[in-house]
Order: sequence, then structure tokens, then C-alpha cells
Amino acid sequence: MVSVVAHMALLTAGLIVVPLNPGFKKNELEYLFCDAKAKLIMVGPDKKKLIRDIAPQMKILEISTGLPYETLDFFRSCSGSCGKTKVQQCDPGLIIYTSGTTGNPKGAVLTHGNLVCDAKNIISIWNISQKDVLCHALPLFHIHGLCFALHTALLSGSHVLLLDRFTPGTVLKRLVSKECSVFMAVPAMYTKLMNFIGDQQFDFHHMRLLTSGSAPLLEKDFDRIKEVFGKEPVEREGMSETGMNFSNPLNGEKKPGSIGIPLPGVLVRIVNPDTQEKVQPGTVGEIQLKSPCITKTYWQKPVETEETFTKGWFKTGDLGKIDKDGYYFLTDRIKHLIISGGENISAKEVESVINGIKGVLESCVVGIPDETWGEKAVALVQKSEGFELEESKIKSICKEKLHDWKCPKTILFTDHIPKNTMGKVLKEKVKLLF
Amino acid sequence: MVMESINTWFEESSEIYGTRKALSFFRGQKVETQLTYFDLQKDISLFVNFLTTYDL
Repeated sequence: MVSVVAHMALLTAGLIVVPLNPGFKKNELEYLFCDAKAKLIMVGPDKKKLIRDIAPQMKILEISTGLPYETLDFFRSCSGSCGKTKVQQCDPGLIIYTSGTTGNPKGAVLTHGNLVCDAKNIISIWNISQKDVLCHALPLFHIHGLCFALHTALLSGSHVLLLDRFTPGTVLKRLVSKECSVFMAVPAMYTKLMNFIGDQQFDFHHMRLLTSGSAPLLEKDFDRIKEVFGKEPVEREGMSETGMNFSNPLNGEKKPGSIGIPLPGVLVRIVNPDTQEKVQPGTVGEIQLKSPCITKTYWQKPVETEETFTKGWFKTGDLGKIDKDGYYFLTDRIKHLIISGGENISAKEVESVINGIKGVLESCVVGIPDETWGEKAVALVQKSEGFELEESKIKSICKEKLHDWKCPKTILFTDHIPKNTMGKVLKEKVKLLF
Repeated sequence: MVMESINTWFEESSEIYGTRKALSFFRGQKVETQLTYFDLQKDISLFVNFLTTYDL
């Protein structure tokens, strides 16, 4: 609760907010403090000593989030003067560090104008209003929980049910309460919820909007959500640097596996990443964007900023295509393309074949060095509970459905695929397992 | 309505939705705190004033 108050107060005071994942380790925090040039850190008591060790000169505001909000009177008894600052749309308001699955994280600087544009877009396409009650169980240190969920709800007069953490039981209790109308989540949260629900039947008719983002929603999970909740999920796409870019329509066809259509004011082009020439509709290329919601710069990283834009277009690093109805589909990240013997292999294409095999809960396909072919595809597979599955069976199904050079040469089984807090698979960690 | 920033927009929302519930904080299954839009805006203002005690 106090995090929300502090966040809004920092924006009002004209300061720049840098949300940090509480799970960051010492070396990560050292890098972030140095890069962000932070002047003040708000931290729980458990982290205070660590922060003091890392940055002895740093101003620290210790906030005990474990205590009831009402007992936190440190800011109520202050006799300070009015600290409001008139901020301009072009002033930076938020720096969100990208997850940095490769290299050091980069801080995407979002101005007040970017944040307002993003909130307006989301409120408009999803009809968020004072009639809504949002079940909020997302972390507040990512753009999803902070901007897409919290900002939009509070700006439109909704009632936010802010949970201290995600657990399937607590979320389910809120969702079945008739007051709740909106739930925003990542696919992993839906999976845990539906596993928890099992064969039980609940009435979710009062829910008008279930959204999914921050990681791909498997088509089988789209169908399962529809079956369990009686409503199709609205899959959408957004990035820390851009805010939300695409969403399936609230009232209209929602296509499983598609990120939907562009939000108002978002211009999209798909180009050949090598030539930067536009590709034909239906052809896969890099998705590039222009929108007033997009950051203009990475914090103190002019080289990386320049590399990320081409003639004003933001290079998302995502490969995708558009269908005949104007819906966009992500096919992979450029950096996850596997090049084997000169042929491009989309890890996502191979994953979708493996994920379709009965007994597979999820898979992750990566490329690892190969003396003959340069790279080869390998797969990490998590089996559904109680299912027996052999490597040979997966390989033979892949051979039936994919060219030989696309088939994974090695398959490892795991109890869990490494992911970040938003459910994005950490492919660099997966590579280390082979 | 001209919305230059999230905070000015929220100030306007607080005036419109004043006594409506803005945030209910759940620790586990129990509601620990509830704030109306008016309460939340008031606490934000207090926190802003508190921040002036730091030389930022």
C-alpha cells in the first residue's frame, strides 16, 4: 500500500521513480544504483544492511511494508513545505530497467507524456471505468502491474483490490467474489490458478475482462481459460520501453496466439531485419513501432538508444507477421533465432510443435554451438504431472511435423523451466543446461 | 481534461471519485487497509511534503 502512495508522491514531486525487483542480488543492485545515479532508496528493513554495504553514502528511507499501513506515520507527522513540482509532459517520470536476459539491463526512460498516453490508450480500449473492480496480484516493479494495471485503474475511478502477493487461493477468493470485474495476469498465473481450481466449478459471470500479457499465452491455455472462466482472455503485448502496443479487441474476435491489433496512435511496420525493407503482409519480419507512448531514450545509454531506433522507428527485436484481418502474431525474438547450417530456425515454431504433444506442459527450444552446423536446436521439456514421455517420442513427432534441420537434436526433461518474475523464459539460463 | 501527467490526472480523478473506494489492501485473505480516493490523495500530498525533508 505504501509503495503506491510513495510512487504517486514521487511523480508529484517531479522525481524519477525507478522500481526495483526485491529479488535483485547484490551485484545487480550495485550495477543499478551506479547506472541510475539514484539519490534516495526506499527499502524494507531486511534489505537495509545490504544497501548500506553497497552504497554507504546513499540516502535510505526504511519502510516496513510488513506493518499495517495505518501504523506508518513517518510521513504524516512531517512539517515539510509543499513539495509539488509542476511537471511537463517531456519530463522523465519513470525508469524501468529491461529484464536484461542478455547483457546489462538498460533503463527505459518514460516521460510523463509517455505514461499519460499509455494510460489513455488502455482505458479507452478496455473501457476501464469507475464501475470496475480490479483484482491486482501483479508485482508493482514491472510496467504490467504498475502502469497497465494500477495507473489505469486509479485514473479511471476503479476500485483496486491490491493483494500482497499472488497465490492461487487468495486470487480465486477475490475473483469469485461478485464485486470483482477485471483481472490482469501473466500466463503463468492463469496456469497456477487453473491447476488450483482443478475440476471445481465456479461462477465467474461477473468478470468482464481477463487479460494476459508479458509472456506468450499458449493456445491450449487460451482454450482452457475460456473453459474454466467462461470467457475468452484478451491477449495483449507491451514492452517496458513502449507501454502497451497491441491488444485483441474487448468486443470482437480474439484470436488465440495473436497479440491483437495496434492500439490507437501506434504505427506498425514489419521489415526485413537485414535490409530494413518492408515485407509483404503475411511474411515474417521485425516489428517496428512509432507512437507517442514510446521512450525516446535509454538512461545514459546514447549508443544503445541509437541502435534501437531507425529513422524514428523503434526496433522491438520481435519477429512477427500480420494476417489478412490485421491481427499481429509474434513468431520469435530476433536474438532467439537459431541459425543451423545457414537455415533459420524459429525456436517458437519448434516449441509450438512440442507443446502440442500430449503430456507436455511446456517447452523451451534454444540454439547451442555445434561443430558441424554452427548451431543446433535443443529442447528443454517440462512434462505434465503424472505423464510418462520419452525423448524418442518427442523426436519422432518433431520429425513428422518439422524439417529435419529444425528438429531438436537433444531433449532434456525438467521439473521447471527457468523464468523471470513475469513468467518470461530465461533462454540464456536454459542454454547453460546443455 | 488536459492530462499532462499521471499525478495531475489522479488529482482530478480524486476530486471526481472522492469518497469512492480506491484501494483495498489484502494481506493474505484479509483486508488490512482501505483508502478512498480522497484518503489516497491526502496521503500522497503528505508524502510529497515529507520528501522535501530530503535534499533531492
